[in-house]
Amino acid sequence: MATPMLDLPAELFFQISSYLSFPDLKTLSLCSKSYRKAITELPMFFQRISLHPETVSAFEAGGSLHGLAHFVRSIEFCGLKRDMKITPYESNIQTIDRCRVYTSALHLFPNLTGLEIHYMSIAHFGVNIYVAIMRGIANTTAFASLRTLAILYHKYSIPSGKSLDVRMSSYLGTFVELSPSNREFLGPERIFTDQVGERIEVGATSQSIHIPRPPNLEEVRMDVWELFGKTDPWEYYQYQINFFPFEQTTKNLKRLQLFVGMMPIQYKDFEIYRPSFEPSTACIAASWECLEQFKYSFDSVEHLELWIHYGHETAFNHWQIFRIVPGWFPNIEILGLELTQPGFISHNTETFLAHHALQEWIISFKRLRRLVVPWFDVNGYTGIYLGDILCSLVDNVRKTQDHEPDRRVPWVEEIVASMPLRYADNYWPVYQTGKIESRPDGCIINWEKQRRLDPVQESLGDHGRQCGFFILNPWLRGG
Amino acid sequence: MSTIKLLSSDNAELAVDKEVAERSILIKNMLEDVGGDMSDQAIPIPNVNEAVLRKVIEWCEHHKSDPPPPADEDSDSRKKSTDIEEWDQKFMQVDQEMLFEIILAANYLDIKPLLDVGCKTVANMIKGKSPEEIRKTFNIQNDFTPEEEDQIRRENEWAEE
Repeated sequence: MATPMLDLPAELFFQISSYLSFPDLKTLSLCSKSYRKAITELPMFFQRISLHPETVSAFEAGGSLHGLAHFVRSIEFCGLKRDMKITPYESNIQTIDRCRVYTSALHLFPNLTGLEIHYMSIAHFGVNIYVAIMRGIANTTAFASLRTLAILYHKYSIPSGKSLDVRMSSYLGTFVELSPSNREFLGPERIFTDQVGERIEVGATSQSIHIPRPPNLEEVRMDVWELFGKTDPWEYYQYQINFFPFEQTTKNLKRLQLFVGMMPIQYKDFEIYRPSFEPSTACIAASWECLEQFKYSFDSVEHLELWIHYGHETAFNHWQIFRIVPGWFPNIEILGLELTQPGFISHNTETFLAHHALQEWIISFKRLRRLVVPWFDVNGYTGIYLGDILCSLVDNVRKTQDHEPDRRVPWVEEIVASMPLRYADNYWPVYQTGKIESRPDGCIINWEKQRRLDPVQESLGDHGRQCGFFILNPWLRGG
Repeated sequence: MSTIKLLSSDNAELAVDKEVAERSILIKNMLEDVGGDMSDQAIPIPNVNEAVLRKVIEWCEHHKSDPPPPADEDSDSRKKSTDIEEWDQKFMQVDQEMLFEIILAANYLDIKPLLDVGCKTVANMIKGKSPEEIRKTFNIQNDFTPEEEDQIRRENEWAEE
């Protein structure tokens, strides 16, 4: 009886393993070949994997993990960040290479239901990569089986003061031709020269590019950049691209997390943000009509998280969003809001209108159970005020109920303070309070931000204190 | 109080209080099936030898007045606690062969709380240790080459919780 533990019936070994942490399981698997086999055949061990270039070959026929591919349910594409050891352009080529290899490897995993892709790219290729991945997925069996999809894009810049196309003459020295396989993967693209206004079309020149969407998604997390988008993803230069899955493939969609607006890697990029609509009177008049055309129906969505980031001093875009978007989501039970920009908290007419529109939205909810507001802020102040504003909106609603019974709101068991999603750094102060067990990332601690926690808690007042703690983004916790 | 007799795999007959023996769901169901009267006949427990059966009875004796365990908690929730009460910890201070025999017996006799304690004990012998320490604890022969071990460390990095 050299291995009494492994001689136990499988269900008993499973029970023992259920008391072990993941690191303990990994350690146990290093003890001997038979332990290795027993551990890797636990259904949960390879249920979620991170995909690296070598991972793909390990799961291919003849690879060491080939027989275990059927355990894999969820995959994260890795190694798509900016590689600081090489030039931005080369790093971008590497990202394209990897996305291509990963996407074409998805057929190895017959039971795949979840995909998480976080990539960084110079702006020029950002959309191409997105479109290429989606088209690649459409050719795999995972296309129909995918239930959760997160696809997020971070832009990085090439050296300062330059336009964003590496093929401008100043970059010819570092220009590397795309390989034929990458060109095929990326499909048609639009490139720009350094002549102002001159554009060169490469590949297909169709006006509208079809982006396939997996038909059975239940949870989606993505950048949309533009809620009132155009159907042609390349109609606009660079950022202004509609990522929104507006096709009618949403019948199972339960949870939607949208990042609207440009998300920079660095706060110093703030000035490049562009509002959806210029807040001029003429534009308001035109857009008022124009926005009415955007009618979507996401009846199945119960959980909506909106992260709205426009770097503008007015609240015009919020006003428009809160005026139009509520009609798209009639059955929300959980709403998370993050509005990290100055416009929503200033003191002008548009701010007032935006607040009013949001309040009307809140009143219109039939089923809302939980309203999630930022716990603390990203940029130094907005979270404090936003929490405050939302709480007082709710208070207003409650007060008006007494006078207007027909507008009674049956909802909101709790207002929950959450944390901003995209700045993993900001987990730290919350972690310090002991309300989450561990940091989900390895990022650098920003001590500066800790000090802001207490004022935030104070400003949320009783609302903040009586609510439980809820992390807006369980994906980051690996739930 | 009525007693019943159990017959171990090595043909030892042990007298036990019925109430104690009924910690085993297997025995409890058996007694219910035959109408409760087994006073003259020993119940055969063919998978469990005398030494192990005595240990199991000792545990049941101590825990005879425990409230019934809460109805099936969500069994697939991971990161379950491995806390064990003090008496049980002492009880489980046996050699490994006995430990695994107790686990098997608890499984066969369907004594879930004892099975839990046994599995937790094994888990606690693994937790927080290095591969070398685990090998030593369970007398496992390392049959990996250093290269193979490196490869496995790499592969393990891909597995996400």
